[in-house]
Amino acid sequence: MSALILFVFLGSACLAIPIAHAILLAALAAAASNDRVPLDLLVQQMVAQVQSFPLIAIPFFMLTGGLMMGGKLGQAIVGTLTALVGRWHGGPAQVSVLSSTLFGGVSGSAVADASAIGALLMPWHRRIGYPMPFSAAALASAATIDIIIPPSIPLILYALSSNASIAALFYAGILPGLMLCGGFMAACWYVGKRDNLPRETAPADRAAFRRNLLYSLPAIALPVLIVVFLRFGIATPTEVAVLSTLFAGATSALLYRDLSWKRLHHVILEAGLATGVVLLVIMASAAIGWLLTFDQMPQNIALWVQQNITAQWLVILLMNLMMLFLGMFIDLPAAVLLLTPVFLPLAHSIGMDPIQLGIMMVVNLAIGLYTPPVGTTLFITSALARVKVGQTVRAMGPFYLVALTVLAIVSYVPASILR
Amino acid sequence: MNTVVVERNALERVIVAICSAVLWLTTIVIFVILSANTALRYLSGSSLQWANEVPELLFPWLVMSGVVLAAEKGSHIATVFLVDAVGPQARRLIAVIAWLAVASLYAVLVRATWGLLDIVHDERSPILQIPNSVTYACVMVGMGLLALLALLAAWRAWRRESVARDLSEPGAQAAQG
Repeated sequence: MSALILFVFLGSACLAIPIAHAILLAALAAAASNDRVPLDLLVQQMVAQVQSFPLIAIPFFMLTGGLMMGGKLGQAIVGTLTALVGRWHGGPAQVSVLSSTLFGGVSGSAVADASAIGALLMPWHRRIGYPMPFSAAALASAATIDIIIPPSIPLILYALSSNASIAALFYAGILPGLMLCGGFMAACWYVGKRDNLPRETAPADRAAFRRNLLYSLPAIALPVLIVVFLRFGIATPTEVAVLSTLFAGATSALLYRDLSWKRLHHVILEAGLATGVVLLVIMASAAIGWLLTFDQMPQNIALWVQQNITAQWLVILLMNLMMLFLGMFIDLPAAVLLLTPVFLPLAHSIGMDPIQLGIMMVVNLAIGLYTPPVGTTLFITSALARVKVGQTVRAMGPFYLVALTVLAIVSYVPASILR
Repeated sequence: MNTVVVERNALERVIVAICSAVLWLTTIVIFVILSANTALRYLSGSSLQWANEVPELLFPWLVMSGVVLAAEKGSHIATVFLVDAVGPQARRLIAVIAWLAVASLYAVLVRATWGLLDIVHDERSPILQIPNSVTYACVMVGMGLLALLALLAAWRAWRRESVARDLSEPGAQAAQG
């Protein structure tokens, strides 16, 4: 049955059928091929996902990101960071990296990050004569820091699949997110110096810097508040998501004064639509996950690995290679939901902490967002930079190196995961 | 062989309007209830028991309206690079077959969900006593609309039509891999 699922899913995906529909087609084919699998069970698995209280956090974290970044805050963040690092080697690209890290604290979606920051930064990069493929490459990779720094939608999905604590995962994501930020900044600095790329030359305006910094403070404060609220059990993840929306709405309406009805309408629809995209994948993955468990695929893989591979480092390497390969083709939420039941028993067998597995999985699958042939942030930033995807990929080398190094650290150094 | 760009038809306009209204309503109600309940818990030390149940009952409506809206705007993520590599005639044929397959999928799921409504009607929410069939019906209606939109997409692919969309509208810039 597992082979049939894989065959139908890949076949449907190759025909450009949206991933969620392709997963459901595979589930339907598997159910039709097996008398012991009633279709009702698949429907029940799907409906159970939209009755999950923790998942209500998703639209509100998306709404928070839309409210915070769509208005003046985004400009303030970019202004502050340009004043701080714009004059350094690779400074303009470093602004992308730092902006993504800060934006990561108010949003849980890499796609939203790439779109919002790209729209703000690309015109400036173009104006100063920056190489646009490199600009697109820096942002495509940096946008994925967003889903590692709390709040993170993939980490919420992993928590639901593995019964791990959302608060613990959010806390554990901080250090790898900062390592990626530091690494990507170093990569920008290296390329900027090597190729003598243009930098910001306008004299620093201290008054504007102070004003922008003051405007940016809510964005710096929000991730700290989220982690504190979750860490100390002040509120549940869903409540924290709603409270962060309240914070974002109040900041936008009272501090920035940029919250119009038109903007509110736009961000509510955008957040709802993005939630629909993610939740349909979750519903479909739940159906297929049940079928794979029914077929004992996770147990069989775990058993095979236990019988054939004994070295812990090799098991971790194998898991990473599988994730890197699948991440190149499968949508990130679907990959998290499908791989967690497979990898949890494996991680357990080698004594790996489920929190470390979650961080390793998200850091790994995030790389898939900027690798061809299917890379969401890669496509968005290439489109915004008006360059071909192939040109962006050619500029991506230093960023792949950094991401793989950080992946190796979170995979093999448990101390890199904060607890 | 060129694709003709057409405006949304009446059915698509109605679907967009209804889903947008449901999204607005459910988002605002869930937001208000959860914010108020959290504030109440910290101010008075107690919370309203039904306040956790209403968001759970409304969430499926929020999700399914988002799912349908995303389908109408073509925002569900797909892998299009292979299909883009073939000629326009083959691409058209693939699109028609693919959308007919999707329409059939959701028609089958609607039929299966319909069969479950009677069974889940007896399951009720603990406090408000709302039948679980309400949530199943919501998902069923959403899947029915997905089937309808997939049929429409197949029809448009067959007639070499594509819908004109304003790039500033939500979801219009969705990434297609």
